[in-house]
Amino acid sequence: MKSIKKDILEDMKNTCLTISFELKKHFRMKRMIISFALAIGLPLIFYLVPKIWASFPDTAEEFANLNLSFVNLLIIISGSLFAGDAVVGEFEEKTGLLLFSTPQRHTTIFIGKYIGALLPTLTVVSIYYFTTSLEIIGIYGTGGITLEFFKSFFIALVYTTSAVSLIFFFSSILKRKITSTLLGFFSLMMILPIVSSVLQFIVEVEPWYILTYFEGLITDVFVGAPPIGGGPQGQAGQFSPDFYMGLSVMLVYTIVLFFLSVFIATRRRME
Amino acid sequence: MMDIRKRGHSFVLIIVIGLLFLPVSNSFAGLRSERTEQQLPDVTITNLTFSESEPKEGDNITVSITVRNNESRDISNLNISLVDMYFERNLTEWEAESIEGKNESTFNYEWEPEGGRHNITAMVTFNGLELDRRSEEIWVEPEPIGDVYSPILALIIIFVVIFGSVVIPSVIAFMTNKNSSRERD
Repeated sequence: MKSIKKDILEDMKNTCLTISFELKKHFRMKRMIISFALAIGLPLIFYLVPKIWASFPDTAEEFANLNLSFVNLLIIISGSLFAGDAVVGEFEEKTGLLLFSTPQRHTTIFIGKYIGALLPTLTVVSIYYFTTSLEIIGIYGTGGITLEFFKSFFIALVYTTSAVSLIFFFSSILKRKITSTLLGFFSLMMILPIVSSVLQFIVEVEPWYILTYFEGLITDVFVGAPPIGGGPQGQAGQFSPDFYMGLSVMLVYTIVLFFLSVFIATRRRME
Repeated sequence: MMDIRKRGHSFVLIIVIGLLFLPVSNSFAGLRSERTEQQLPDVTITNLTFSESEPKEGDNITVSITVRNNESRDISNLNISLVDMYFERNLTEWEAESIEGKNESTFNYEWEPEGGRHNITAMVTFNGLELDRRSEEIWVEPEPIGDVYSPILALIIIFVVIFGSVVIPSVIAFMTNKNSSRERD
């Protein structure tokens, strides 16, 4: 009988093997290059366009708020790219027949796949923030990088983990790669925000249990929470997302959906 | 045929008479509105200021409104109200105020605003009729939300749980093997 220590070490080694395989796969399929190019190119637009045709905002907070309002989009795109087909691909393309017959535990395969999708998505977000920080230093000096900037960065990372968990969950329950990727993309991009808006403005209930309700926290740290009762652009709302509630919801989404996905994927059989 | 023609003529006649009376009725209406305007007191808001130009959320700001009576007679029964337009809130109202002739009065309001952009509007009314209004916009810097340690803690929890979950199957397998060997013993 193997000792528990050896067993754990073997599982860790197998997980690392899956992670490295997944990363190589993303690299080979040019997903890494596309998403890294987006992470550098998108913030550059906010620097080059005002530099050539207009002027920069007065404060570093306003610049960061404008620039980082698009990081959500990048999280959704790269999350769908890396996690959309992570599990479902093995079942649809029947590559699982080779993979699942290895002596490696199925749980380590799926945990490795999850980490293999999460790591590049987190890297993409980090590159976006790094590019933005270079721009801020270039325009406003090092004083432009405030504590709020780091706060926004860490919230964006937590939001990324929850978004990846949701897309990974769809990947573990659906039968086709394209359905899983599109459902992951559109649920974060349209479906959940629409449900959230309907609940807020028509039903007049705070949608605290919907993940995308808190996506605005990434930029709210620069300009404060949206005011309750209205604003100059007529953004009348009765609710304002709470920072700590948002973090808790993201945390719960990440952990619960991660375990559910791994549980469902390990019990799934080839058809 | 003749009947139809007659009817047509009388119809045209009615319209012509109506058109002739229209300017007369309009002039009567004009007289009425002039009379109403004449009765309204000449009062204007000359100033609407804030004690701080760059306030932060939670600060106490004094909003000052100066109302001037442009007439030589004293005017009473004036209502002055202060409204936060973007937030759709009535801040305060001074009722049945009087201002001496060719004089002005200042009204102060202590305000603790929320963060965000506000449009503060002061209005003077007399017997329900608006005499003057003045608006000013002010940006109130919101209080910082959250702290930097909580998202870091959340990330640590996530990484510990995800990387820690690799160990769970080995531990479960070890426990089940132990139990089964115990049962065999």
